[in-house]
Amino acid sequence: MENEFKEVVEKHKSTIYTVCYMFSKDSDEVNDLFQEVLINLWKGFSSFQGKSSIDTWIWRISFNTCITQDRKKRRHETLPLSMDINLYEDKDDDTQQIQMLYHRIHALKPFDRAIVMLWLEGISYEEIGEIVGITVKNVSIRLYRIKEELKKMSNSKK
Amino acid sequence: MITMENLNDTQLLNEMREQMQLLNRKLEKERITNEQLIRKAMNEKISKLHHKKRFWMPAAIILAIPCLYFMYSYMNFSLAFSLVTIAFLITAECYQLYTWKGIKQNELITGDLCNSAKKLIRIKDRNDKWLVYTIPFIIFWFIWFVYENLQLSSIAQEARDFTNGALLGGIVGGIIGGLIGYTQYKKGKKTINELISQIEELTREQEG
Repeated sequence: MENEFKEVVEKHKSTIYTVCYMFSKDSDEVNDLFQEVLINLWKGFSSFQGKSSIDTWIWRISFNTCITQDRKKRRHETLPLSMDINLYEDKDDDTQQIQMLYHRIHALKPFDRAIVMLWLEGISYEEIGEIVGITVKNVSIRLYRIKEELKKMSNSKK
Repeated sequence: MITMENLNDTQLLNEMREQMQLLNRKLEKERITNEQLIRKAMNEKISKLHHKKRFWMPAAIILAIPCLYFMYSYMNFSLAFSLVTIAFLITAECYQLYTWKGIKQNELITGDLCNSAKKLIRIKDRNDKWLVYTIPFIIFWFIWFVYENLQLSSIAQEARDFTNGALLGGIVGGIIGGLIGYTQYKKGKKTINELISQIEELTREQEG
């Protein structure tokens, strides 16, 4: 089971990192959250019954950890992630684009952050509803409001 | 390079999608995880499983006996004060278990976001209720603690230094602990209120 878990983590590392990145304010917090997500994934791994797809399950655990995590209660020592890039500090063109995305998403409320990230990843409305726990109709209403908010934010910066 | 200034509304969303793909491509090239990280996460499970019910509850009850002996025989507090203090500590431990009653830790992490947040709110709500009873009790207990110390120092002259030290420690510790506790409580409350308002908003839309 351990090897299976390692494969799952390896396959979904970008998803996990993206969620942690969008819910953190610096690299230390990303490290911390990433490890907390790994712990929660492992905790739930043995009871994962395949009722939902593994992708949906990973998204859920990652968001749940990042949204509800009690950040003052860290009980473990943080290990550094194996990264050659720093998405908060690097200044190349690509990273600047990513930072722009970060600022837009980070300005939204936690649940809206989750919904818009899933939408940007091309996840279906049904699956977004399943992950967040709302109806498909509600996903579309919510997305419309989020898009309006993003546009407003963009216009106010012009 | 596209800048935020020259975007129109449609471009904005398309651009965000492109930025997300860019982020994914960049992350795919990174190693991110390593053996040590994964191993650590897997080991964490074992220590946490044993954390609550299996260890602390029996430990609290077993430790109550030497604690009672220490307070009554060594520190010379009255039997009533020692018993009330120990009973409070055991009650606090029991309440911690009640806080989690009906909620599996697994549900908090694997459930959908709204459901998990609702469960978390229920836990926080129970913790708040506990504070309503605890704060008056702690004030009462502290007055009693001061009274006990004054009694002890008036009976035995040689115990005065010790009781003064205990009093000072109690006051300083109480104030610092109270301030830290209050700050953390306020922070936690802010996060929870944010979640509650979002869930209400989402549910309202669902009903409408």
